[in-house]
Amino acid sequence: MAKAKKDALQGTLDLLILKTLSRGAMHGYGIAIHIGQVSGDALRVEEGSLYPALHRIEQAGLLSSEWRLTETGRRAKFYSLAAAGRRQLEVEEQEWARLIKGVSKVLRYA
Amino acid sequence: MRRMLHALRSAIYKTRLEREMEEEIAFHLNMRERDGHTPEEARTRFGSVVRATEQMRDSHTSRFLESVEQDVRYALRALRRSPVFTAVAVASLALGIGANSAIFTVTNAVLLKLLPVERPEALRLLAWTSGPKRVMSSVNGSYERKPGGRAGSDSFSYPVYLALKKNPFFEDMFAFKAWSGVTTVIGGESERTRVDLVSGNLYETLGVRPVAGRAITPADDVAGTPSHVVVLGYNYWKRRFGSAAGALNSTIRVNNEPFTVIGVNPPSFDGFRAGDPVDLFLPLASIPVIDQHISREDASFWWLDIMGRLQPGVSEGSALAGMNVALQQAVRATLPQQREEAPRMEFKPGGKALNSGSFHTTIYLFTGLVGLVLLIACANLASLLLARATSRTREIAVRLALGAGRWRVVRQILTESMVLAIAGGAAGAILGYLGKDVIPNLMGNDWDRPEVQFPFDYKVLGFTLLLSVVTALLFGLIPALLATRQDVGPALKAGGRSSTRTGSQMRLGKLLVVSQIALSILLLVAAGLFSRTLVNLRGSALGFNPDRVLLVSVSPPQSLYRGEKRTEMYERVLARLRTVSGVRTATMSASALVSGDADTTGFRPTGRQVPANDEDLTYVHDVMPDYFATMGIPILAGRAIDARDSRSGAKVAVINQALARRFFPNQKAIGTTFTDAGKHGTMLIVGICGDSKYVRMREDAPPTFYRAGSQTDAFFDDAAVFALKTEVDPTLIIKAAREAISMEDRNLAPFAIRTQEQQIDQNLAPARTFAMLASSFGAVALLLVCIGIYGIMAYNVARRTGEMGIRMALGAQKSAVLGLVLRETLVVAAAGVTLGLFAALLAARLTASLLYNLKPYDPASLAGAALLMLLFAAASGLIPARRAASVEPGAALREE
Repeated sequence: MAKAKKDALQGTLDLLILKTLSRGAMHGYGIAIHIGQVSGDALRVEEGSLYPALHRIEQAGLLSSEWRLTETGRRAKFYSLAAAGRRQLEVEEQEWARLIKGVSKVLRYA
Repeated sequence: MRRMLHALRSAIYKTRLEREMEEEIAFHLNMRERDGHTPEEARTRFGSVVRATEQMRDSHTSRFLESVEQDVRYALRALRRSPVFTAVAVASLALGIGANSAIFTVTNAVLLKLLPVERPEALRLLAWTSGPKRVMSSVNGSYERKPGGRAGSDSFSYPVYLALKKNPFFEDMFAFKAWSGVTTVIGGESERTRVDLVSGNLYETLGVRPVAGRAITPADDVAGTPSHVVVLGYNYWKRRFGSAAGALNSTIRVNNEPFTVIGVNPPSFDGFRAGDPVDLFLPLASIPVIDQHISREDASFWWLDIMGRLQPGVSEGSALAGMNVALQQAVRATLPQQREEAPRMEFKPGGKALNSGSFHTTIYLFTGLVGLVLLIACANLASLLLARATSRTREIAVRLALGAGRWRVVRQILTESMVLAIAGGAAGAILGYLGKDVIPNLMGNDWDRPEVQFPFDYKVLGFTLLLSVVTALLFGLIPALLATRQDVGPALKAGGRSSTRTGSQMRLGKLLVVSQIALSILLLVAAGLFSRTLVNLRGSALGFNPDRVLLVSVSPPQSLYRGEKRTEMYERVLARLRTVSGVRTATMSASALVSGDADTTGFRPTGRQVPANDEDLTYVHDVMPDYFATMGIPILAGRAIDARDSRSGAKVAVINQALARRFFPNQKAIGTTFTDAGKHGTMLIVGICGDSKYVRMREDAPPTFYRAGSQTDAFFDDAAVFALKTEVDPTLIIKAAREAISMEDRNLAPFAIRTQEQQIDQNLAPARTFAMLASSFGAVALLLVCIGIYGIMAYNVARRTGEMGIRMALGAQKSAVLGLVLRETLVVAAAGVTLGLFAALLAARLTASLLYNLKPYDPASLAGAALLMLLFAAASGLIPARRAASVEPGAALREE
């Protein structure tokens, strides 16, 4: 019941979040900016969908969070990778690589 | 489901979670604006705030569900690790809950359940009360004496019913009459059946639809030309016809008249009384078939139950006032003499079982007893949980130290008690299902009616479930809260043993044991009172000799045997029975002794005025020759009723000593004459016999006179009982006696063949049931209390191993330590016993009406209960005490 079916897109978003956080703790806005910048705005997700994902991944024990002050002195919720998250990131990166490989093979021979 | 859980959860968490989500989103939008976007742009990039918030909430809800699953799995694992604890906890709950749901099944059927008909709550049963001068000359049906010579009944005459039907307050009214002991012959096999006579509109008005065939209609219920039709009760159809469709349109003989089966009732409707299913439903107009002496048109004979559904919008008060006027008018119109007082109308709820009144005392008493058992089981569970939580202090401390929230740990412990309670509840429901018919069948007799079965419906299951959950929450919460209210540091260091805080848990544990003991004392006192009542009843003087007496009831159809013909037939059967080998004497009487059946009438010595209120107090018994010899009732003066007292002879009677004492103190009774309240005429007293019990075992011999059976007009009209004094074991001649009777006429259908001893046993059934249940509940309570005492003392000793070690190192003898622990046990027990005795003194009054030759504050029962409890308490304290005494001082101190 709780383990929602992971469709590809949601899986992708989870992977992007984990990867982004592997560089260190960050708040939601920061994660959105980072994903946008690094992908050259190619992956512009609706920013609102980021937060449910963050909460879900945190509830699953992959992230931890705490309220901290930003450099500009504002209160924000910072997320960071938990140990389980780090392991999950590895798994998902391999998973992703396999998927890409598969898809590109199909594209080449089709 | 989701939404519900969410609502539940957010009710607890709302403020923090919602606040944080809002702040998080606000921060995001704010940052966008700071980075140079307009608020509108920020919102567009973000998408729907509402949807995002909702999805965030969802992720928390599913997490909650997951953690519940985790808790349950953890609880199951923990319980599997301590199987003894689990078994004891589940078993004690199962006993408590099982007993309660078994009793609740009966309560539900009798007191709560509504008739399975349309709008049962609007149904009213009509009833009346009247002063001492009553208009009706005879009442057949419920009859209740009230203070001041007043009386009340639910029975009305047929003419009054017709008059009452025309009223604006009720939608429609119908009438019915319950009758038992009607002889029915199906395929050559005869048996006694339970019949309801119903007015033609009953089915239509109630909205009862037969499962097969058709219902009785007004066209079937026409006086003079009643159609001989019958609707079968569902259970009867199942039993006698194997639920065969061929039953429809077949012919059965009711009191030797042919009746056509036109329909079968639904299983849900089997009459108006709980636990007393009706076999056959006949139109009211067939009453002459049931009893030829009854005429529907007789206005002075009150016998019918009347029920109706109140019109919507009519108030109870105005309907009652209006119906009261209607009743006065109906009485005036149908009865000629007007000097007497007209009865006043009353309403009773019609949608519930009509016989609930007769079960009240029993049900309330049993509900009380099983309630005590459940309380004891709960206290037991609570002290077990407490001890368990205490022994897990270290584990809990570790979890708290590792950062688990207190609420999380409390929830974990609560989940465990919930799992226990649900397991106990499930086992209890099964026990309750198995036990639901035990009590009604203990109370019933073993030779007549088929087994009583009460329905086990969703309400009973709901009740059981509710009990389990409430139990778990109530008795699991306190130990959980206590166990988590700790300073992590000392608990970890002390290993959960000698931290000072466990003192309060000890006190709570002792308090639980004290209350358990007090509650058990109540049960033990009840067990004592009821057992002693049973012993007293068994030991009470009967005044007759039940040894080797066989009783056989018969109920010949009136259509075959009336008046003189009936008497002659009985005399012929008696002659046949006397020739059966092994029979010493054979006789017959209107009813069996101590069977609950008896007739009362007036006793008016010739030439003397007797106060009117004495009338009801004289009992009459119609007997054939040899009655006194057969039953072993001694003739003290004069002679018994014998063959001389035939139909043509002078009318005679024998009176018992109680009657002689009452009406002839210091006077000669033999040779004087008297009349009774009926039309029997003047009788000559020819003998005085010893006092013997008549109606029931609880009642000492009432003033009674015996009439010569052959001289009474309506001799043994309904049913009568042959009594045979035998040379051998009476059960050995059952077959021969049956044959002798059917040789006379196959229609005689002997029923209820039993020995007089069995009859006595049957009359003691309620007393025996009370004694048995109270004793077994008492035994269960004792067992639970022993577990409780053992648990708390064992824990106490373990906790104080160090102290014991020091005491012994300082030179205390083993016996001194043993005494110390035993003394502590007995102090707890004595406190509980004192409290229990006090409560018993207050509560015992409630049982007064159920006791026999016993005061509710019977010293033997009270002292016995106290002594038994102290003994068992000492015994269960002995094992921990011996363990304390065997402590090795050195080892104990090292451990510390």
